[in-house]
Amino acid sequence: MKKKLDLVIAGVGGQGNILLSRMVGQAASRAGMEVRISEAFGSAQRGGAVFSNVRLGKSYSAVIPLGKADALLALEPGEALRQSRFLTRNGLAVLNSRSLMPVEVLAGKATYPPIEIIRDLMRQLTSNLYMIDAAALAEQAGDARTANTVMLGALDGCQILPFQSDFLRESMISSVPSKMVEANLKAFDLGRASVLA
Amino acid sequence: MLITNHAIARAAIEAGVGVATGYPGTPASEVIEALGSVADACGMHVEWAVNEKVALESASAAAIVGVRGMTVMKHVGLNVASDILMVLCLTGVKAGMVIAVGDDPGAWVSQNEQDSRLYAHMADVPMFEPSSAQEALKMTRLAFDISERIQLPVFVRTTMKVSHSSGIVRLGPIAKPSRKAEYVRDIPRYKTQDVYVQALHEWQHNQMKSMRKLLPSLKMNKLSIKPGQKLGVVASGAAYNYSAEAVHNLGLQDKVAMLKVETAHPLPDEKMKLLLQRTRKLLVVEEVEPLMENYFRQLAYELPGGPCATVLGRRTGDLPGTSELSYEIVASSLANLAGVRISRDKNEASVRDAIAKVVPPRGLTFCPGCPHMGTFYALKLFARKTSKRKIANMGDIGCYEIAAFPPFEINDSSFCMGASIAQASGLSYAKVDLPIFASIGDSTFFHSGIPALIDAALNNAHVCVLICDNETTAMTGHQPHPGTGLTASGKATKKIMIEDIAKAAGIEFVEVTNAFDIMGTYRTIDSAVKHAGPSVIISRGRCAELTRREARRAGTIPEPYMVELEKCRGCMVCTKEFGCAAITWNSDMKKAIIEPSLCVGCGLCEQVCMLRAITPLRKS
Repeated sequence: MKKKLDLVIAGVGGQGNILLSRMVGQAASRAGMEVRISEAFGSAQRGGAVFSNVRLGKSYSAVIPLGKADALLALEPGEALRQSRFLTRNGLAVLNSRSLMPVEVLAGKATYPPIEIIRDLMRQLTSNLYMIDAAALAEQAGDARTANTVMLGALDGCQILPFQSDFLRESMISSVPSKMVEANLKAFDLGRASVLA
Repeated sequence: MLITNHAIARAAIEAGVGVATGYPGTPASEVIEALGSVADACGMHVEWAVNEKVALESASAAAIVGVRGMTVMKHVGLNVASDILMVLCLTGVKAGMVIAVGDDPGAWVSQNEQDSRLYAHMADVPMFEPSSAQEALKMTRLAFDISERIQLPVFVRTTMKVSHSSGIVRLGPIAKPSRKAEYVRDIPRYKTQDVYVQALHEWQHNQMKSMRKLLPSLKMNKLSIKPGQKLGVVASGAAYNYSAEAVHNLGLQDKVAMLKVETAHPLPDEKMKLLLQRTRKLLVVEEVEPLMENYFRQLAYELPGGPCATVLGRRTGDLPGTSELSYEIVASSLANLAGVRISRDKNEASVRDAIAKVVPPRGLTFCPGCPHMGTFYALKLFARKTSKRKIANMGDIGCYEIAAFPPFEINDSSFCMGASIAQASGLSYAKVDLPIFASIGDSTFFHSGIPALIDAALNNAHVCVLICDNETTAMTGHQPHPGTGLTASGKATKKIMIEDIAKAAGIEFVEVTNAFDIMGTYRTIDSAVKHAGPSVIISRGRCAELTRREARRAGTIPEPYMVELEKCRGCMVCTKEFGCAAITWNSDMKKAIIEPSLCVGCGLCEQVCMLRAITPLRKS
């Protein structure tokens, strides 16, 4: 395991992007690591593109330089393309394959690339690519709202995080409502298994 | 782990603040939010004031009678508060008074990217500039002590990239709640006029002189310089972080002298002079204006024999003259000056170009179930029926600004809080030959819309003021305002009705409509425009985010709507003209589909569909 990790989490406003970055940050902090997080939110959360930078280990700034992130966790495939600018060549990319169409596309003023094109382009940037149908796995876990936890589990399964899995589980458990812990744990494991297979 | 804004709030608690006030605005909103939630436990008065001027007036009055005060706002809020600021800097305070201001270089969520450091120089009061959450805690606590010592308010300035970053923060002990207020009549100090002002202005300059003397003992503004270093970097805040990382990544640690500026005012003269004498080139990295860069040139004149270094930065074009900086911008400028080449992989660059070409745009949209969609759809229908098929609609600051973008494109401007009403009146006085509207939110109306409404009544402006009332300050994260009947701590308080204010302001046509009833709002707009003179329509509907949150808490699930596919003829009115984010277009079937997990069941699209193809899921 590396002592340092620069991670970018990408998504659409309202998807729970910030909560995820804080879960990873909390886990690293529990593991005794230094953490800096930078969040792009504000009015940007009204259905706009949102991303956060998570820097584990010693760093100078909360902002990751372009092309230097070790990993990209994308809650939406189009947003993976947008934030791939941060990802280093052959860095880890974990993508939710479920698209959310922007209003510009719905209004017929722009086009959204087919998922196959997204996969091909991402694969040209990195051979270390995972596409996860998080919504399907979340439903399998018993609650459609656990899609983010599926993604978190998938990231953990890629064994790139510089701390043990239990820290992440703990911070996830402490961030979700108590009656949803069971479904989230199941979602986490399903996500984890999906990349290990 | 704390976000910088929470670290600032924590510092206020540790410093024993008695009165904390503010007005919501990204990137500063989280400070008062956090304090509101612990107000009772800390024995602190915490409020979302009606605007920034009121906020600074009340908190600084507390500081004048010996109770520590804090006011928090975004950069443009400081314009509103500047009226009191420019006098407060003359009278000073007795107890510590800190003004925390959040700047937005790049204007990501603001109407401009003004640099608050210039205010510290104009008012001539100290300003600290942290670059991380930990520093924010430390410097804000220090700011209270310094303020008390030199009896002037002290600024803590953060920029968006710092305000919204988090890190591990070591906390300090919490002070006993603030001291007891002591009211002392001191007319020469607080009745500013004529002879008193001259004395106060001189006093203020003396206080700043003592601040300059105090500066070296504060151990701020770290300078690292070694003999032989010909290149120097001077930076502050987020720009310092980019610079430090760039120096490291370019392997220039031994070659570059570095000054981290933490006091934007007063600037560290001696350290800056040393750099001017010892280096050959000085790159000044700051957001946004070339404040330090210009100050260096000023200092150069004070050096016997003149400076040795050439000062470079935003003014000389070595860094861009506007906008937010980034690691990439700083690294490339630094590499250029140091003669280091940054290599690029051509194949990688072409892949990245190919990706950039297909990235779909994703602009701001109204949330599914937003009441503003109903209001602006009604306004759009009205505009189409006018003789010129056009209206003029002056906009304001808030979520309803999104009506400027597709598919509405009916919000023509946004200047500053409350501007819409007087601007609309101005169009009327200038005899613009169109139906004239001002659209303004509920919180914005309370903030600074009221004087302009009185003005419109007095001068009989022929304008229709459309108050988009979603019962919260939505854009900045649902803070309460005078119309919500809630305090910053979420307690019940007096609820002030916008319609009462409008009537009291002398407006004869005042109507409240249901924002979720498109035709009802349309008819009200139609009769308001026919009214000779100013009119007010309060288009009221609860913010969809609040509705969603309340439903989640109550354990209820909103009843979504659905498209009856056999009735849908694919006219696309619901996707192209209305554009709710919960409605998607299925290009295979050539029909609209409602995504049930996003739909909150507001029923607006049912009214928009002329074929009655949209119905509640439950009914069908």
